[in-house]
Amino acid sequence: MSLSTDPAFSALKNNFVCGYRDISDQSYAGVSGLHKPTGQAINTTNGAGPHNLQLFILSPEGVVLTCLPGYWNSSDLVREMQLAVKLNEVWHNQTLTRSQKDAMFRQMHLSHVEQHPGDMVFRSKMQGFDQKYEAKNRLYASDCIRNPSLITDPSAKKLPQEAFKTTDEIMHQRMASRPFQPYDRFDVAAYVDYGRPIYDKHEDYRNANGELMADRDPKSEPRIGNLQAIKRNRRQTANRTGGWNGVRYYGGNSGRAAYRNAMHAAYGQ
Amino acid sequence: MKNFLLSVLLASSILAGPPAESRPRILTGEVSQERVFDLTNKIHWYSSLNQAESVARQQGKLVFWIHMLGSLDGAT
Repeated sequence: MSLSTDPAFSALKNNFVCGYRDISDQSYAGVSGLHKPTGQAINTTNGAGPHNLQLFILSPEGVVLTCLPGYWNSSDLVREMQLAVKLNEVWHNQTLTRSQKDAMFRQMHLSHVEQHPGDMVFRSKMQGFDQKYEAKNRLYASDCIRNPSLITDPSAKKLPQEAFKTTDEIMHQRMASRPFQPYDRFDVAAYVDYGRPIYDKHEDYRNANGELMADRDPKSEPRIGNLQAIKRNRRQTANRTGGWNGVRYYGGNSGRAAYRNAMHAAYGQ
Repeated sequence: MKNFLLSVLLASSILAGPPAESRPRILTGEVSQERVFDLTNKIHWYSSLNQAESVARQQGKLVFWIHMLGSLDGAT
């Protein structure tokens, strides 16, 4: 848990008023294996599990300065806290008009990406299963994919990494289009929408080396979250891939191929 | 006040220590439990955003507000 380690822990303890809410019943929430406080934990990448965890930094009036979807490394989180402090200064600057503040908000978020150190960018590689989800389900419509023409086979075991943006870049680009929004009007569902709704590393089913134990079945793990999200996702995937879901499509696979070709013509190469 | 906050954050960032990749990938249940204990006992966590915002206004701080599955001190 990155929040319990420094530098994030000290920053939270000394400089923030903290709180949380359980989002299990929210439509945008995803699903995870159930983890007790006594269970094992594992490091993961920035932005992993965006549907299950969101870290908001708000002004005291409830204006969203930034929102980090999913897990974030402790040092990287503090870097984003520093940006939020600067954004809060802009928000409270009485010499600026609202449009000037919004422009500065966009510029500061977008330029922050350029300042991220290499190790932060490395930690922000999108999870492979989330990349596959984006490539399979919205190759030409996803803002997570920088260059769809590099992905010749969305079902390939290994996808070309240069085709994808990193999660730190996606986060700042999405924030840049939401300048100083009140928390209660922030569109969480759209903001966190990338990758699979289920995220689980099966921490309690791994040995000390981090490998899954052969004699234990991770699928037997109890789950927490919005279980309807999995069913909904399966229906949507079936729709997109042509799997039988009780609905017939005129044109069948050729119709969907034509749609993909049209999308490719519009957005590709 | 804001400059002070920023300098504290910057200092804590510099003292961050090694990147996550150099640490063990798996944290034992015992270590996890200690960290959860520290996180939930050394920091007060509000369940009401209105209350958190009110305290933030009084103390001149920002609000750190988490959306999560489950609860901080229970199953997640």
